[in-house]
Amino acid sequence: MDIRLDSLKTSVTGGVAGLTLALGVAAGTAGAADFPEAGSTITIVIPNSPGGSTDTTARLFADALSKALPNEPNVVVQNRTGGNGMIALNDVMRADPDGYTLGILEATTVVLPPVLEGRDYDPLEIEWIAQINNPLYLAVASKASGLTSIDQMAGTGETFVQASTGGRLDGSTLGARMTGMAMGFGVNPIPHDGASEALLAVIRGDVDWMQGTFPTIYAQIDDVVPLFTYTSERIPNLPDVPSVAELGHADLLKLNGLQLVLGTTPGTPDEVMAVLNAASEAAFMDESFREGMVEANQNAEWLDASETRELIQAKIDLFGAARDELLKE
Amino acid sequence: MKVRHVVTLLVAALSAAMLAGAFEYAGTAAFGFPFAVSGIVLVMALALLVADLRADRADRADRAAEPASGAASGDPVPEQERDRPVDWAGLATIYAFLAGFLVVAHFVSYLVAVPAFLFLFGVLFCKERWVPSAVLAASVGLAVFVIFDQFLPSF
Amino acid sequence: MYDAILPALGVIFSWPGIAFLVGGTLIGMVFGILPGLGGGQVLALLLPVTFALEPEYAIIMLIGAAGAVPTAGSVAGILLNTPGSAQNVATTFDGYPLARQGRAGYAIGAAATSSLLGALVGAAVLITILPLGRQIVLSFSYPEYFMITVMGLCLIALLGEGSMWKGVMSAGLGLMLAFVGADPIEGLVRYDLGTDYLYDGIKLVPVMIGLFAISEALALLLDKKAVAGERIEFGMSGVWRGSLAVFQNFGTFLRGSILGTLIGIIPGVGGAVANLIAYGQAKATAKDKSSFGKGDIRGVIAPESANNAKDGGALVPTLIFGIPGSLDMAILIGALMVFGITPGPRLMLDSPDIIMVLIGTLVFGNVLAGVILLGWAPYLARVTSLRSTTVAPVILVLGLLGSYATYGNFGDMIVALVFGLVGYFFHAYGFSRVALIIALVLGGLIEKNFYQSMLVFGIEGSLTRPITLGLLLATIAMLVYPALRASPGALLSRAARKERIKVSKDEG
Repeated sequence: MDIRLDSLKTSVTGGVAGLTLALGVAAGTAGAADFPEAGSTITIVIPNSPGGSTDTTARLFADALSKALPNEPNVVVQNRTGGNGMIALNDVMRADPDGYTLGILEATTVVLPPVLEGRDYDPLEIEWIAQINNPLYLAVASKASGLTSIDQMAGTGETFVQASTGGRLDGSTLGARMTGMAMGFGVNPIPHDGASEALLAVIRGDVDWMQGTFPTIYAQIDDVVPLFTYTSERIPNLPDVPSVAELGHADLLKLNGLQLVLGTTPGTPDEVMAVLNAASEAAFMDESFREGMVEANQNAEWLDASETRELIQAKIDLFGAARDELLKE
Repeated sequence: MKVRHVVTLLVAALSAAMLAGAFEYAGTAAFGFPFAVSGIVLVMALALLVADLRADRADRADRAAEPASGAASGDPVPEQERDRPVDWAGLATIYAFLAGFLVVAHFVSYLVAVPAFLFLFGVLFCKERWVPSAVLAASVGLAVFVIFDQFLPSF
Repeated sequence: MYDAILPALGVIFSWPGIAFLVGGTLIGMVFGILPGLGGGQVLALLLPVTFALEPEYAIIMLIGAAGAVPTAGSVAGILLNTPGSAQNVATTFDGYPLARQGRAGYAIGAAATSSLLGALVGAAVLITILPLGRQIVLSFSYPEYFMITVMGLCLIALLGEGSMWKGVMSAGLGLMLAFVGADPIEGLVRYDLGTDYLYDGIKLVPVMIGLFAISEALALLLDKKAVAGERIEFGMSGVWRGSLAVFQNFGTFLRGSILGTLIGIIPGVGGAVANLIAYGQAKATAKDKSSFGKGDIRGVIAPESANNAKDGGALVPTLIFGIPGSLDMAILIGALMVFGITPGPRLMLDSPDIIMVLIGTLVFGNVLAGVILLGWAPYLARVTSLRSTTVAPVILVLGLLGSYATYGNFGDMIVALVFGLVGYFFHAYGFSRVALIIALVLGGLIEKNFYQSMLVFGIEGSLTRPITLGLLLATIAMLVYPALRASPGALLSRAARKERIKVSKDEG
């Protein structure tokens, strides 16, 4: 949900900017060197409504980024929900490539449409800056299912009813199905509107299992049975719960989870990118950002620009390889 | 054919289009509800149209036979709405003004579009006097500016 | 838990708590009155502001604002036939006819009073059942959700606007519109006509603004009349009589509040359905229902008491499971989590003080909003006496901006204009705008909950669940009861009237 009338207004400023651009061409392209100009506004577009993980992360990051950039521009968060993330992504893709429009997007949501639906864009075209949040992701079973560990599922070939956090072709559902394929059990996803509804179904015992983020599940952890975490090592809060790497499936780490990645419009000049990359790293290191993230139960995990591209590439490859399997039935 | 029948026909056309579209999703959950509901609506719209047209014809025949009566008729068909005259010119003019509003809002700014619409619409369509129209346009424009421009984007 | 009540009141009524309460309530009321703006927007607006505050004060401001929205939302519905959100739809059924009769003050008085008292009942029920809330929430699963939405849809049969045949057709159209966009199971996008705009389906707010506000403005302009005719009650006396009417119809009020609270507990369906079911219940159980839809005050009292009481209910799943019952609650959970307060079973043990501040604010914020609205009512009622050429253009402009402001999408204004025409012709030719909007609200929920029920429980498994069965029987009773209740005398006189008509026709 977005409650601004910004784009109506930006059409005015856009017109004016177009005019000044036309008049200013002769003056040369000094713009990139001055990035960002004093008193300017940088917009971070996010695909989620206010209040959730992404929104919290984006707002904390926006404050830190404003301080870290030269000339301390305003950095504002714009909630552009809808179209399963496509509306926010389009805003970033179609903005002027001047570094004033950034996006904090969910990596899997960006990757899937071209890979599965043949949408016409290349996720690698976006100028990726960093991964700034990777909320801990874990699988839990319902108490009513009688499952106590992943061993009772893995390798059995049986099908387990999963409370999925989106539709059947949603990234989180596909991730769960690929986990099932890799571990040797079937997944029958029941779609829900988001993780908290799915979690309620697990607590009721209507389904066998689900996977979701730690901030959502942790408050109810006593009412569910943790199966494994999508981490490379066990986490301190759940010392008895195996990590997915320990189970021999480290490759599933890149498939599952809600990695939040920061990027900007394709074709943004290198000088601007250099400024953004440096400032983003400084913002990530900022004490208030990290403290805020800890307080909100988030997991600030840094990947730099090239590592972020690798993550995106890995998702493209892994989902692409499983495409036919996922789309059949 | 009267406007009332055109409305029913439009409903029928819409449901027919939806019914046809449903087959694109045959075999999936996307097929079930849209197929069932648009099918039912299509049948209901066609039945209404036929009953309505026949009732009209019967009515005309009645009226031709005995012009005095015709007020209380115990027709088995759905109740007859009076055929209200539609002020097409008025509707078209209002929508032309509204289209202008959208164009100005999109390409210039809603802050211009709101007072401009209220003033011009008041004077040209509603035949209000200049001064009250200008006062209304200015005050609503100001209120909109405060609420939407100053207040809403303040975060 | 209950010993945290007094300290919580201390926080709310000491400085600066009281200032945040008043400020939040006033802002919430402004948003509630404007068509298209509601709880989601006001919370999104206030959320970043509250990050700078202590958690208690942040909660006071957020809940104060969110609680005031449904109270103030009745205003546009009554005066201009424009429900501010889905939760005020039922208020228009009788509220607007009252305004047309020049009795807007009376309707607003009743709405404000039943909102205020409804919130009190909701909070009282909330405090009583919070310890049991867990069991209540867990006993509702997909089949129960499905039956509740079906119950909401069946209300269309009770509304009696225009002919039944066209009413059902209108509801079918509403359902068809609800099926546009991603389907709830596969996520396949249906009927998107190749645009991203329709990916999320046809949005409720622009349709609602078009069907009710814009079409009403068109009617006002083309008929060139004021909303109300010649006789208009000004001043406070009408407002007080509206207040009094709540006590004269206390049973209607109480049933509405309790139903509202209970439906509010059910995550996901509560907000949109509570006011409709309360209205249907009031009409179904009324002895004389002939005046419903033509300006019966009970038709204002029932939905308005329910839509404020449901906030108390909605806090149950929000606080116990962190499951938002509505967008408002989702944003509230986000705000709590920023302060390190995670809703969940431990919250009641760890921070009873926070829960009590929350409930206390809900109570006193609503009282404040109700009192303010009573004070404003005589002035607001004057809107109905303004000439149509003054009011209608303003409705058009505010309606369009409101439909845009919800999602910031230009296409929403075009949708609003299209549905303005739809609403105008629907009204002129006896189709039901209300049936369409109810079906549009519930269509997605019905489809989703149906498939979830079938996938998990199957038909037999669903129908053998006691609550589902109970709801099914209640729905049937709601549809059949009015017919049974009609006394033999009334049936006879109706039959006699038919006979008379027939005779007179034969004679003529």
